[in-house]
Amino acid sequence: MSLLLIEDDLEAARLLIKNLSEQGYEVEHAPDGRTGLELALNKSWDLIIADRMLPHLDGLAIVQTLRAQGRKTPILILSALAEVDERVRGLKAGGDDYLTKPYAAIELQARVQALLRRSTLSSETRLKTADLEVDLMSRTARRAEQKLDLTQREFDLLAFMMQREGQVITRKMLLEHVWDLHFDPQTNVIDVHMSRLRQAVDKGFEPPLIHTIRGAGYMFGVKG
Amino acid sequence: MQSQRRFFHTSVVRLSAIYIAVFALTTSVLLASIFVITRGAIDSETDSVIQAELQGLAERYATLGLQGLAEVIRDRSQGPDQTRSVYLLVDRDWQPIVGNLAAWPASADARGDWFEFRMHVKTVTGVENHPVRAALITLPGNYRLLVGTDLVERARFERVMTRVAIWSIVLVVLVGSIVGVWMNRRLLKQVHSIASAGRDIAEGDFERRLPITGSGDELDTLATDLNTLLDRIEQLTVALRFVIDGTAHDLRGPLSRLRQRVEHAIAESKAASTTEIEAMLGDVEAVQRTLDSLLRIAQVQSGAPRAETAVLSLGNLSREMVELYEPVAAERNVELTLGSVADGSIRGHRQLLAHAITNLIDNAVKYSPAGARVTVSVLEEADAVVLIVSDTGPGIAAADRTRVLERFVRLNSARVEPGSGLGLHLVAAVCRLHHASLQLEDNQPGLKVVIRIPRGASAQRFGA
Repeated sequence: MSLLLIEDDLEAARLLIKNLSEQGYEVEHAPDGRTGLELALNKSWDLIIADRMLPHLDGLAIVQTLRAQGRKTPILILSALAEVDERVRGLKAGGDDYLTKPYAAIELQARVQALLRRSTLSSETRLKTADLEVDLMSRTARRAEQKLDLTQREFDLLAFMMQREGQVITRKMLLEHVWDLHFDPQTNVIDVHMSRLRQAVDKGFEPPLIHTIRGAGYMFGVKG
Repeated sequence: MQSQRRFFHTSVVRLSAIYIAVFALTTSVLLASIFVITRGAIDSETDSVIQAELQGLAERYATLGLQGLAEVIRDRSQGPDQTRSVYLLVDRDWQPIVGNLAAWPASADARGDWFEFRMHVKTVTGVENHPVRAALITLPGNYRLLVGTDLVERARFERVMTRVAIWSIVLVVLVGSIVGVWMNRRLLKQVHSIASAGRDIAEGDFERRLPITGSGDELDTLATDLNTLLDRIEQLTVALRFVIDGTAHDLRGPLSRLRQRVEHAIAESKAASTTEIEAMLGDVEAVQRTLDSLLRIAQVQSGAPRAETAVLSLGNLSREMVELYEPVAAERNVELTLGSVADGSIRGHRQLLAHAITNLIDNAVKYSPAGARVTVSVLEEADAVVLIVSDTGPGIAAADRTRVLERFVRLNSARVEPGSGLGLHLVAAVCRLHHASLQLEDNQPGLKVVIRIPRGASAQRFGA
């Protein structure tokens, strides 16, 4: 997997490249906007990570240019900007995801993974993992032929995770996608919801399907 | 109706009224003085003429006797001055001997004093009733002589003076009012355009300036001075926003690297030291969280987020937030429920409103003891949507309620709980952005937070 990182903070870039390389990605680095855009246009990438504020050419301008050229490469925007509405601006410009600095390494890894696998996201309406079956149309879930009693939100949560089987899903991602909330509530509300979902999905069944990833979030699937 | 009321409440109208009153009073006093002085002069002239004639006639009587006097009186009363002068000579039985007055007037019994009466005078237009001022003397042989002057001229003068006075005052009031209203209109128009520009600027249109007509009058000078002030404020706001963004960029950068380094260290080190480093990571997260809160409050207060607004249902949003927090509350044995929830459609910033609601619920749940109840309701009023978050916890003493809204202030009794104390402050900032009022009330027992979002104002605020 080849990644392009456009970041003017060299120390941050070094740490990020190290981090991503350890995950097995090939990362190329551009230290300013103009070089970044040239590289982005001249080579084919699986993912582009662009800082929002860059010398010469702004991160948003790069995203807009690429989209105007018809490039569909997934783009993750990193930003240290404080503006509340900055995120909306980033996504409107054509970014696929938006992460505010400082972020946890695992958060970035999870986002990168999610964006790279986005094209493989199942479009099927019936999902099946082990003996768990979920029908997105009728919004029903069954495990070992038993109908699970889930609230609307628990069903959304389960469906979101099942579609990303085997991926690390952070709490932030769940807040953003399942609840459409783009801030951190003072209390960790996600863990409580997840433990309720686990009660409904995993209690009394084998194997367990919802796993906690320490310091990161959750993962769905059969561990092996 | 409203503009009429406003019209009569302006200081210009009050000032015009005062000026008109003062002018009218001055005019009246002036005219009254002229009247009194002129009348006094006329009266004293009249009196001295009568006095002189009485004296002259008495001397005639002394030298020429009754016959001679009667002749003189006859001559004079038929003379060209006939209309002005009045004569009557009577004997001891009050029977007229000679004169141009038909009978001795009833009021002329006074003892040689001055008196006034009325008499009928034949003129070309008919018989007129004229006032007469007269004096009398008693001649030897108990004859009595009355000499008077027809005062019709004086009465005419009085009537003219009164008419002049009335018209002068009417004119002063009329011209004063017209000029006053005209000036008022002109001034109000200018004041209104300044006021509406001022409102727009307060709403966040920081580049707008007050209109200058170019007439160079005091309002122009004022507007120019205020524009200078606004330039200064804009500079400061820009500087402040620069500081906010700069802080965000400059603090988040190193914080980001620090965080990555700590994470690396955890990943690479052995178990013994990881607990310490993990604690460091916790600190980094705490700093980050406080920084985020501060920056967010600063942005919301500077009125920056205007783009991401939409018409939304506050009722639905509250329902979602209650659903989000219900499991957390249940874990703490606090019952989090929905009260009556109306649709509550308003124009607003979804993320910020959601943040404010979760902060309120979070605080209520956090500061309530086990067994307490937290209720969230959304009510619709005629021109506002009201959000109420109430709990049955310890509440806040009346004296502390305003202080609570201020940054960093936490109540002593709540210090044991985690949280940076910025939660309610963000709520206050979000309220201000939505033109909403925020009140802390006694829930008896507990705290009741009431947020009243006006429908019209919030729509106006975001330029809908």
